[in-house]
Amino acid sequence: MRSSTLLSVLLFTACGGTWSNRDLEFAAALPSRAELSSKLPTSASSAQPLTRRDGLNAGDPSQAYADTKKAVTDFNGLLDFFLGVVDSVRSVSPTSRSGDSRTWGPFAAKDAPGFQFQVTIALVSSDPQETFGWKLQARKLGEQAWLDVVRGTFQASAETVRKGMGQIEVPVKEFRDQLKIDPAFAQLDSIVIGYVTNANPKLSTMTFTFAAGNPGGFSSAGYASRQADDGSGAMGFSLKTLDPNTSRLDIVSRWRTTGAGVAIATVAEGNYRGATRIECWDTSFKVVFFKETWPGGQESGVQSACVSIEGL
Amino acid sequence: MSPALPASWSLRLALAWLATFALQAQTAPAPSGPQRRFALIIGNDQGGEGTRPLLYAADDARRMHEVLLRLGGTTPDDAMLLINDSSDDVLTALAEVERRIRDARQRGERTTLFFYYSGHAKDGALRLGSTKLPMESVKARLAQGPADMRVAVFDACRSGALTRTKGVRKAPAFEVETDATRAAKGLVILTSSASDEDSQESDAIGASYFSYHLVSGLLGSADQSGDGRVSLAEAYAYAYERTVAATADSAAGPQHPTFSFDLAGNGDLVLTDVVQRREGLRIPVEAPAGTYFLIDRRGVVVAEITKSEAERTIALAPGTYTVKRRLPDRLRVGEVKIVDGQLSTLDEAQLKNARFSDDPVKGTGLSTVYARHWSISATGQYQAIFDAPTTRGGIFPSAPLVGGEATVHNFFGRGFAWSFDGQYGWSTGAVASARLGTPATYRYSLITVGTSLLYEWNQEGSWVPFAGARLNLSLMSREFDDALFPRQGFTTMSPGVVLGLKYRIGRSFGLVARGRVHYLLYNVDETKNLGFAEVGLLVSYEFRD
Repeated sequence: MRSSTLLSVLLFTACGGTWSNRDLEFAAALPSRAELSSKLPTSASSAQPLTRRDGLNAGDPSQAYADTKKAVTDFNGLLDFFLGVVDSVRSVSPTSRSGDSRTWGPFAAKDAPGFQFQVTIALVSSDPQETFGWKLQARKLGEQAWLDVVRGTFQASAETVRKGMGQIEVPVKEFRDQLKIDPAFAQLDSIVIGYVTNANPKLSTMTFTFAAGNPGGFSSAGYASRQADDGSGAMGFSLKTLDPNTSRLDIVSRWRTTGAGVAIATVAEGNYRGATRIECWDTSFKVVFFKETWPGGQESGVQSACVSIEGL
Repeated sequence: MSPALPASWSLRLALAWLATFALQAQTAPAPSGPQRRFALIIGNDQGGEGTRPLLYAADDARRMHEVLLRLGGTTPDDAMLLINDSSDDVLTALAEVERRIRDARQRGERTTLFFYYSGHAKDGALRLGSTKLPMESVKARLAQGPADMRVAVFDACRSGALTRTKGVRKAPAFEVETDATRAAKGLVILTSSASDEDSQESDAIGASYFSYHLVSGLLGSADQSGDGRVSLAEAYAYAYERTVAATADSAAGPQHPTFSFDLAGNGDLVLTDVVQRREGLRIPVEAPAGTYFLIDRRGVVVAEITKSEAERTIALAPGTYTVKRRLPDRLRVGEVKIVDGQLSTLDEAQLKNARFSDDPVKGTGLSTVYARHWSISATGQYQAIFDAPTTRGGIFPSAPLVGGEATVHNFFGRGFAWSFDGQYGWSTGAVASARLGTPATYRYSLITVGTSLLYEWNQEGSWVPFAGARLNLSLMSREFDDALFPRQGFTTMSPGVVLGLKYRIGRSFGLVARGRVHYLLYNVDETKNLGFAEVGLLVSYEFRD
């Protein structure tokens, strides 16, 4: 009897690991940077300095493309910031498992000594589609309660858990006073990222809600990105300028797989509110058409040279 | 305890006394009733705390029991064999034997009790598993026993600090006192070694040296007089000489059997009659003089007969034996078949010349096939997981493996091998979960290490079947092609069984076909009782002397 018990103990203690098919489904349900990032075509020719003279003429490097590229870079950078932790956590197997949940951590926060974090994901509903809820949480060492740093939901598509639609929220207001965060970041109340990956093009939006009394006087801002399977896409963003006539532009850039694209900027704030500027660029990211509709606005090139953006 | 005599003196005194006793026996009044022989044979491999298990004590007892039934005039009803039993069991059996002896004496029968013990002795007690039996009480019990003649043989060891050397297992000194107790009557005690010596077992012969030679002598090897009967004097002299000779070069040093007696002409001391049964092998007068080795099918020398002018008979049990006679420049080798109830005659003409390199046994006449030795193997096999397809596409993939193993043959006794192996396997697989949509493909690798306890049959033959149990440690890992998923691993210890067949190619090489079946416990997502089977081919090389 004793020997059989010993054998059982030996077998069980010597048995274990991370081999889990179910883990893959949980991992796939977490958002990934690669899935949500915006991908603007670039080429060697785009590396040329984007200098311009006063005014803009056909053949000049496209300023709209440069603005779009910066917006895409900023958007992807923010995704990296929020989802980088999720991606790095997902690169290892969960620390613990229960039937419908997985937990990674707690881990020591390398960049914030004295803090630790964990990621949990749980299947919260299976009807009609599987819906997951997940959280990236942090706490000071020695404390019991966890603070949500990032939290999200994801509803899988009927076909696969790899695709679906979800929302990611960074509730800055909830942890602003408890965690050490960048002062610029502290001006926000929340960041909300919405995404749909089971459609073509895939959609993702990023909305910033600013805290009352922030130095910039902002209330909200954001990005909207669409990314088609063929590489074409779109990005919506706002641009602040020093020109009182066009102090804020809401820009929607659309591009084809070749890199050619069109940006339409609408004056949202300023004396020329409601006026627009259209700028088209070719596959070498040079202006082929440029037109401003406000008084004294410029025009260069022919509009027929613009790439078709129908459907984007 | 009396001062120790030089060993050679002990032997001379013993033989002188035994010869005197034999004379007395001839001149003593003949017993009025028929002779009745009882036997209590005890073998115990376990000595309890502070000792290491013996390998052959139980086998020694079985062989002694068998030879006494065949040749010793003991009927199965009067012979009790106790294997690995406790001291209480021994005392109960001894009481029962004594009761039967008293009944026989009341009927006027002349009685003899043959008491044999093979096992551990330590701190003044026979060690029977976790129980003890004080040797003084055994000795007193035998001294006062009801039988007219009591012959006690102790082949015992006592110490747990055994030192293993190649082919030899040391055993501790035998502690039964050889000092005669004059108050007793009709008692002879033989011991396997002197009190300051170790008794030794040998893996090569699969027995203790003393018991092996004593049994061999009782079969007829010890019949120096050629009268077809082996007396106590002959058996002791034979066992003594052979035991000393066989252990002279051992690491533990020579082992000298001893005896004690207190007899007053109680009767006959013939232990076995090798001609009355008329079964065995007769070496006729015309056969050349020399030492004949008789080797059984397992490669074990069961008897050695030194023939001079007279005819010799060895009471072999039915079976087929190899006969070997060694000449200065060659061997004479042949085969004889002993049929139940028949006495076969060795025909020198049927023996053939053989080179020393073709010796069925070497050196001292002990089989090297059954000696402990190593072998190494290269393996190629396929592992199939017993995992019915599930909605998740199964848990583990099947895979081919290559590796090697090393085996110690005859490690735990004759035929028992201990093997260590390691393999590496690789394959590809896919998690075909419906929820994942596109299967998650991966590269699979597997490392296994295991140890097996095997029993090999027919080691001297061309075909060597084997079977046993194995404990396996598997380390599995998989790396997904999709970088989204982390590397996963699983480690498990699993018991299993092994079955195989080796075909010898020449003396050292072999081809092996082998199958294994293992239990496999999976316990990450859920607890599942799985299993796996492995079939493989091995090329082996044995390192034999």
